[in-house]
Amino acid sequence: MQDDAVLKITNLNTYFQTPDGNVSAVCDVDIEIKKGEIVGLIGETGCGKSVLGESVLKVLPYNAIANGSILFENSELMGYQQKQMRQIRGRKIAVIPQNPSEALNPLIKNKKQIYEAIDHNDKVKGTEKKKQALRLLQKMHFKEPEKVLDSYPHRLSGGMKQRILAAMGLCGNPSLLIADEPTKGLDAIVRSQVIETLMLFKENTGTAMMLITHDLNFAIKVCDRIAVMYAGELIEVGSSDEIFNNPLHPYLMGLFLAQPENGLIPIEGASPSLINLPPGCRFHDRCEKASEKCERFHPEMKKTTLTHEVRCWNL
Amino acid sequence: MKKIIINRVLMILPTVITIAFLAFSIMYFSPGNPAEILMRYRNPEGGTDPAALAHYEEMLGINDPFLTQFENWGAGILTGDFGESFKTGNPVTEEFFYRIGYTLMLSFTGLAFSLVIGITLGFLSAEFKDSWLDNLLRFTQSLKMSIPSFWLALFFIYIFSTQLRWFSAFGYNSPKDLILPGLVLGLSNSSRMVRLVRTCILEEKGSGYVYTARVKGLSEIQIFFKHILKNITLPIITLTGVSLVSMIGGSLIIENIFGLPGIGTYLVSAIVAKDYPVSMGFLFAYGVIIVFINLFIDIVYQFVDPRVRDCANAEI
Repeated sequence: MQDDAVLKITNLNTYFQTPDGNVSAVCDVDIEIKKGEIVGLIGETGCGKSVLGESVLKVLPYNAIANGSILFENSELMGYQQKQMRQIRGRKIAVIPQNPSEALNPLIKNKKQIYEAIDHNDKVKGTEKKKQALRLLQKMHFKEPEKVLDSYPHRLSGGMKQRILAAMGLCGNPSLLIADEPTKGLDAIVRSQVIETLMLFKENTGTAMMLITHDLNFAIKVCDRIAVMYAGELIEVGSSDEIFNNPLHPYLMGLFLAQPENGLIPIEGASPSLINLPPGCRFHDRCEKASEKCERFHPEMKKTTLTHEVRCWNL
Repeated sequence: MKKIIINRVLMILPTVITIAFLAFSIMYFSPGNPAEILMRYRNPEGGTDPAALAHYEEMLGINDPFLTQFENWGAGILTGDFGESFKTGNPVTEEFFYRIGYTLMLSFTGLAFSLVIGITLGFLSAEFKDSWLDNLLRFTQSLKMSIPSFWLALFFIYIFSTQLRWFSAFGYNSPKDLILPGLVLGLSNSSRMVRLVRTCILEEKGSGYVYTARVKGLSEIQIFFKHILKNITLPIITLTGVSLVSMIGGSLIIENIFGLPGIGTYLVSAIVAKDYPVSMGFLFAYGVIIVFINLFIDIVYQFVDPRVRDCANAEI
């Protein structure tokens, strides 16, 4: 059987146990990422998109429980222990963490932090290690890699830190990159640097990518396919073209209208609490087209084309 | 780096001069005539003979202008002469160096206990957050904070000296006699340390760089020793400095109960007895010790945190 999926998530549920009840951050998510494909995961803050990435990596907080199936290169990660996961993190799955300005240890030289990543992949001797680190930084277009190695993170700009983090991800042989909010809080210039960084990464590895972001325009520019998340579940999945030219779910249409170039029209209301979810469609109380059916019955994902899926009764 | 340290050392000069000025002003502005007090100590039966009083006034230079007196006292300090105690007639420096040894030994023993207890329990509390162990530790910390140190001291003396006879209850004969008072001092100071260590570890565990280390594939043990430990040293160092200062000056209850001749006890009795040269000298020396502890912490900061180093470099 030919299976070119790098990552295949089926029926993933992740919830947090809290004194107020279970918070279900990810509900019944099915998603597939093929070799070399860039898939964007978009949604507003708190919709569970970062938790989805953390579930794949098994770096969830201690009160979180995940179940379902996560097939990575045809092996089931769900049953993996932390020790086995460490063989995958940093080697097979590279991560560019959120918020680059805080993602490097401020008290340790860049050199040592990059060496740690190299050491995790294979033990090489001192001079060879340095050469390898320099090579990684050059691949990430650093002009003075020697100087960068010898300085501390606070002397670098946010974009440079992100490229260092990307360089660390490069040192394995990753077949998947998870980038968590790579453009969060960045201005337009740095944002285009990030796109460049991601493209550099792809050029160097040919890896598949999961881009977790709330930046719709960025996702459309970079991704092959886009999955839209709302209140813990996927509500629309399609190619970037389909998502951009033919958005179907009222929430996604609302998102487009809320973009600055379309007049910043907000979607009324707020997303539901993930503790007491409504029985029907999770978007119904903010939806103009909502009927009684939407309020009472939960819609399933429906295929409209071969690649386009949407979760809405009104289609 | 050298430049920064020299700069910091030079910066303490005005502070030290201010301390000297304030310490000296205490005697000058206190009510009562120091010469009279001195005369009464030297010659308890003598009554008030104006000629004798004039002699003592002359000796202390009481009729000189304020600045002249300050100059004389300051010049004495520079040559290591702090005058003589009214009460005993011994040089103040001798009294001081006899006592500071005990105080420092006690403080450092206390500090060692507080660090060991604080870091161990804080680590356990953070590592097993919200478990029964964490709850128990947190409960005992708040309990310990509300127990006065003299009660703890007496309790320990009862258990370890009277009942078990492991340690002597009073006085100093060997370093072993520091264990009990040091433990009491360390315990009563460790609550803050436990809380600080717990909060800091938990905070660092949720920070971005720990997440990065995790997704890089490092194990939790590697993350703790290579990343977290270094980052929590800064707040620990700060609190260590504060604790040390409060232990050096504020352990008189424990010094008294365990019969250790430290500076805290002596300073208080000197103030009560209006023994001005001792009060002035001890206050000055205590102030200088605090300044040096802070200087030391400042310098340690430069070594640990590259950001502080860069800022300090930019200042010069």
